Amino acid sequence: MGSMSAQMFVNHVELLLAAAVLVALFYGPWQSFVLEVLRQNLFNLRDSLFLVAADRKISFESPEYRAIRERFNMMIRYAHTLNWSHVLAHIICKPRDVKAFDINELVARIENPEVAKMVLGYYQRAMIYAALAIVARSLFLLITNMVFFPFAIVLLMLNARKINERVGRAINTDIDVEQGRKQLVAAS
Amino acid sequence: MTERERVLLVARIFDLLKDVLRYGFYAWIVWGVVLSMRELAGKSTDARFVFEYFFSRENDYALPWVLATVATIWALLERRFRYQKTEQLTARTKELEQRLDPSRSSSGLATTGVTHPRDKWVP
Repeated sequence: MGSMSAQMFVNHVELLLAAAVLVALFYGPWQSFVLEVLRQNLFNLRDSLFLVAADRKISFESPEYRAIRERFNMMIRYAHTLNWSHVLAHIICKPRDVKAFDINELVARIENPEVAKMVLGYYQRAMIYAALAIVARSLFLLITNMVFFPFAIVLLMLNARKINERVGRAINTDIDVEQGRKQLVAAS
Repeated sequence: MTERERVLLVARIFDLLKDVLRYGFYAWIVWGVVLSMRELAGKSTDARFVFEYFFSRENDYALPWVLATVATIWALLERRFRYQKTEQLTARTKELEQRLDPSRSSSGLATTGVTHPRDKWVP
């Protein structure tokens, strides 16, 4: 083997190593990074909700405030378990034995309509952040999105509300299932 | 089987498919390296060429690899520093918020802001 073969060998091994490092980076530090960005965004939204209560627009003791804060807490706590396969499994199976979290019912009970609208906005942003994080953490979705992005945009424009509702319900149900699993483990 | 168990089963099947693809990719890389090593086996003189080429001008003196390694170490140190800061600042925020809301609920993360060990995902 001459120097040319050595060059080919190094180039070949470097290419393979670079691919391995990229994949390891994606499944290692990148996952933690996206998770921490998602959690930080959720913390910011929870803080915004806290400030609404601190301004006495909603009581800290009200069941609505408690329930929505608890939902943010659960999203922050179980953010690491959210992934497209779980969301897809919930959309396919539509489990009826898990009661889905209903934000509309909660905000309808808030007396001040401006506050209700604000709180609903925080929640919807949380759902968008969660959905974006799910995409950013999946190599499969990132690759397929490059191909199907224009179709996905058209589909989203045609059916935005329905898709948002379905994905939002699936994310919430996944969080509830995870919480239930933890409680079962803790009880046993 | 309850509906909840059915969801977990379907999710687990998807997870398994993802794992198969990921570890299959790693195996393919290892196999590629092994094949290349076989080509070089027993050729001590050529191994010197490999080393020389790796640090040669044509290979940019291996500068991208050196930079990537330095950047990785820097990022790890920076992250460790951020966790320490989070731990300090969270305690203060919690104390201040509890003055306004004594029954304030918590996210249940570890004090550094990472997933609590009890919540690590176990299939």
